[in-house]
Amino acid sequence: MGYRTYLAKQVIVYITVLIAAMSILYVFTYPVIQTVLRKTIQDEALHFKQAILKHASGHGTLNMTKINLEVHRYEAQLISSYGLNRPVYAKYFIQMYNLITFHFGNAYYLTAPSGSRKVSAIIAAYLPYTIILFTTGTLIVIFAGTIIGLLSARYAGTFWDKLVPTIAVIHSSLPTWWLGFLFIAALAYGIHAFPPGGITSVPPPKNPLMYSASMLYHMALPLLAFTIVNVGGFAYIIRSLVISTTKEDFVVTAKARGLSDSRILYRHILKTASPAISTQVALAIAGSFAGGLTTEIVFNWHGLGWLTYVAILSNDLPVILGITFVLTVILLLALFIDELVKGYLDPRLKVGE
Amino acid sequence: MSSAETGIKLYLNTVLKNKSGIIGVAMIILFIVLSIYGMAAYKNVASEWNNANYWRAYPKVAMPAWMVYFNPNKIFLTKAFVSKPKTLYSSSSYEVVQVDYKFRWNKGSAPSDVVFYVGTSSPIETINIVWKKPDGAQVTLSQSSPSEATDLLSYISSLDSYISSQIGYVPPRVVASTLSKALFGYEGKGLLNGTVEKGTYEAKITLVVPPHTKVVANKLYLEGNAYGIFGTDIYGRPLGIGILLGLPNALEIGFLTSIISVIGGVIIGGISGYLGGKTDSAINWVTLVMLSLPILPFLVVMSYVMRPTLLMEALFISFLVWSFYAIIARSSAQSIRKEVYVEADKVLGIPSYRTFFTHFMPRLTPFAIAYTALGVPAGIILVETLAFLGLAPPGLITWGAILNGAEQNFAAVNGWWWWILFPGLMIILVSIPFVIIGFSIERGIFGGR
Amino acid sequence: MSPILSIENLSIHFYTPKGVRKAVDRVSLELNKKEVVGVAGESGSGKSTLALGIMRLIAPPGEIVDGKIFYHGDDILRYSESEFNSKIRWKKIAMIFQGSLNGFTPVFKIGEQIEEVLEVHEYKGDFKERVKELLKMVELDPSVADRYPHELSGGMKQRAFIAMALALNPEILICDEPTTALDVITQAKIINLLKTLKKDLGLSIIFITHDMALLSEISDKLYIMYAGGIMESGNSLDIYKNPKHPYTQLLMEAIADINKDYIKGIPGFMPDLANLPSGCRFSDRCPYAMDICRRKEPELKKIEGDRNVACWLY
Ligand SMILES: Nc1ncnc2c1ncn2[C@@H]1O[C@H](COP(=O)(O)OP(=O)(O)O)[C@@H](O)[C@H]1O
Ligand SMILES: [Mg+2]
Repeated sequence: MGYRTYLAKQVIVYITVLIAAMSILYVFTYPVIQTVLRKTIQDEALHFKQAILKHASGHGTLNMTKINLEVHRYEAQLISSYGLNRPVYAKYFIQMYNLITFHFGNAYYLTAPSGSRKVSAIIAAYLPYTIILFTTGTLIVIFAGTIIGLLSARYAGTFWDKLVPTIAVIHSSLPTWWLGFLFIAALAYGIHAFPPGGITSVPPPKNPLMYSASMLYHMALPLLAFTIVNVGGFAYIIRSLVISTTKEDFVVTAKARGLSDSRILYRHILKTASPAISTQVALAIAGSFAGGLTTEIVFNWHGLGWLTYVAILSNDLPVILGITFVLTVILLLALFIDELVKGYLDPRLKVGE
Repeated sequence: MSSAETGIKLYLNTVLKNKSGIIGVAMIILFIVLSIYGMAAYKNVASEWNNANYWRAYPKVAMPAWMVYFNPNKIFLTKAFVSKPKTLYSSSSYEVVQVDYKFRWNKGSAPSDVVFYVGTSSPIETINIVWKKPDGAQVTLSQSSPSEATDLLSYISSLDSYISSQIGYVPPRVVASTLSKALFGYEGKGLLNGTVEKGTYEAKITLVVPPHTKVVANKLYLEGNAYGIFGTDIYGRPLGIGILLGLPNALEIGFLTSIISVIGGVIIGGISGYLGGKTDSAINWVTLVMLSLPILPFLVVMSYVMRPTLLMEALFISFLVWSFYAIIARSSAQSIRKEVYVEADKVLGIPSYRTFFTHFMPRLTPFAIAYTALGVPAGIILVETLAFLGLAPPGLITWGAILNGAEQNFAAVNGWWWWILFPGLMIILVSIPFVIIGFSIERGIFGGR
Repeated sequence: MSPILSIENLSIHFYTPKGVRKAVDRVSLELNKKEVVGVAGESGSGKSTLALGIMRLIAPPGEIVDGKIFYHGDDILRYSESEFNSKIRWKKIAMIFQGSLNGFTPVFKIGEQIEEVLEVHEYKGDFKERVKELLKMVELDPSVADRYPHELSGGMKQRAFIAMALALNPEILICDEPTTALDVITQAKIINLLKTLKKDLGLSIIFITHDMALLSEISDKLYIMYAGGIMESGNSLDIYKNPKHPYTQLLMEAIADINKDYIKGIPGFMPDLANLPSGCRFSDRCPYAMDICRRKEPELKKIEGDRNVACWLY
């Protein structure tokens, strides 16, 4: 069984997982979804009516009965397209289809910068910023954590060795958003070393280079908070995985063969431990999601975490629902990529052991 | 390895032998004692926490009281003055009562607020205050049918016109401390620049009350800018009390979520790793599904849909996080299985459900204890995060909600560091002993260094 | 003829929280060219520690505290680590492990790992050709080079590991329980392979096992080890015919007799190596223990020909 077969198998597994996860969300939010859809339909019908009225008044003919009939028909059409008048199982299929294709209905109050009231449009406007921040943060944590973890595993009893368990305690006891909050008070408003929030300076620089520079400058503090909180936990995991792999038989035999310590550590041990490490990466991604999202709020970083907060403050349920579904897909995608990396690294998986 | 060696006792011993383990246990006991004390001593306060009126007489956004030692000129506690009321005039339709305060002010900055408290036997009709500065300048504040305690914000119309008569405009977002500056500053363009007139101030309070009204108690509070060990928030609520009252809630939800999710996760992951084969694949698939549900957004939705109580919240969190423990337990179970199979082959022939309970689960127990300890702070942090988003279970005092208040009132911009620092530090402080204990047991199991 | 490897008074201690474990205690051993020396003893008697000591692979908490190991007259314990690594380890002395079924790194192909050895030791010649040649030597198909360790059976893995051990034409091969985890038929095949290789390549072998029956097939000379010390040594056939030390006698009896269908164990347990009995280390299990045995430790002394025994009976 080659990598391709493994890939095909994983694709199928992850599709079933996606459907299952979506279904769980659907079941838990069933009543709310119905309310949201009903409101969306009313909303759309109203828009439709206004459009007709505008059109009709331009032509000077206003037959209210006819217009109402028209609107009614439109509404009925929407109701059946959203499956509201169908039995539960049919409703499930129609609405699940809508959810998986990102049709979440309209927001109650919020709008996208484009003016659209579609939840999917609103989310699409903010999602990239979450992805930028979270991906950068996660990559930094993985790289820095791996290096620190390896150093501490290799040099027992040294500074690195003692550092890691200490920073691991930080990881498990400190909320990312709180550290961010503290940083803003101290480093942004206190000594003015960093901007207190936002994505770029205002107004955004026109030059793309300056724009990126400004964005990086604004990302510095949130990334610092994210890294400080998460790097210790990850380094700790790397450290214990490496230490436990070091006790395996192949390490002694590798040494007997005359291979150098660093060759054994960086080639043999690290590669052998990497499938286990990627499992931990998956857990770390899923685990740091909540903290990362909340951090957006304190830094006024206009991503999905911030949008969630705004939606909570303005009671915009459809947006909150939409975000939850979108983030499920994103998280699953991250786990899927991780799985592919794991399969690539571990020859044992490909044979399906 | 004999079964005695794998027993829970051994791991409790490793925790207690270890210095940091003892500190951890001691800290947890201290927190539990503090929780009980807080619940008993501040039972009534807890129900008044969200009642802004209850906190009227407290200084708003005051620093911790111990800050006084660092800068006694600018940082000070609340001062209260009492004076004898005199009846100036009485008739069958009304009476006029005067309360006269005289005090010296030598501090380098103005009080954060001034509160006039007059407790009367029947409601006051009008109140009129003539405020006289050391240089003789006068400000008049008045109001009809005031409440018993009036702070400066309740005289905002009088004060706004006084300020604009001096500096030519009314500054935006006026807070109590701005108004206080107006009462203590030199008249002219620099009224609000923070310089304070030192000397003897006089406040003549004239009340119009119904006949035969008695003044039961009266006080003038010059609100300090320091109060309590952790300061106060914008409503004057002492953060020390808030933090103390948040402790039992944090511990309760931490313990609940941790125990439920770890027991669930370890049993499911353990069975999965022990049985292997189809069952394992199926359970593995389920854990993957659970892992892909984003915890926080899901909790946000559920808080919205159901407004859960603390217990329900704990159940939701457990539902979302058990898979983490199941995944880790599964991999431990797989390695234990290899040993146990070898052992069981010798002793009992084929591994069975009996081997599962006699040989297998006991080895997972220390693992479960370690993760229960680590799960407590995880649960606490999740709930505080939800609370920070404004979605704490209703009626609960949480550190997250206190921090949410800080965020919404721009504590960072205003430099109200204590409002941000201490509630967050509490989250860390409560988490640390559990993490230390969890780690030390984990190290005992996996033999790390 | 001077021995190719000669160990003198080697002591290896493990510093554990429970005390100092003398895993190897003043052991002396000689290996001549093209000879197979067997080291036998119960599990835990320090055989693997001895082997690892020769390879200088003792890691903390263990330490070689005393003794000399001469290779062609040079004390290799006095070499610096890098000198030993580049001149002796695997080049002159290679080893097959008790655990060499897991001896390959699981994530690299067999061929890659053998090539890595060639690369690290700066082998002159074509790596791919050499790998093919080696695999042929151990009677494996050349396609094995492209397989991962987990794709091979136990016997194939052990053969592949032997191939890797022979990669640099070593003079000495240490085999630490090379067949322990294998079934009887595969065991016999591996032993035959080792015999052939010894003959073809002129290898000198130190063969370590707890299985006396296995040793009888292959070894020329025998060392019997108990609790870190040598109890008896001498010509293999002599010892099999006429074991002197009570421990050797019991060890022989413990061999599964084809005529009986049970294995007789040696009564009692090996003492804790951090807490040996005073006097003879075997005294607490010895059926012939006398007073002096509990008081004074017997020296290893020559009793006839090349036979040495550490026992007060002689
Ligand atoms: N890394 C180690 N730490 C502590 N003690 C060890 C270590 N390795 C071996 N020992 C001790 O050395 C003794 C001999 O072990 P070993 O050489 O593996 O015996 P054998 O190979 O004969 O079974 C054992 O009692 C064991 O406890
Ligand atoms: Mg051994």
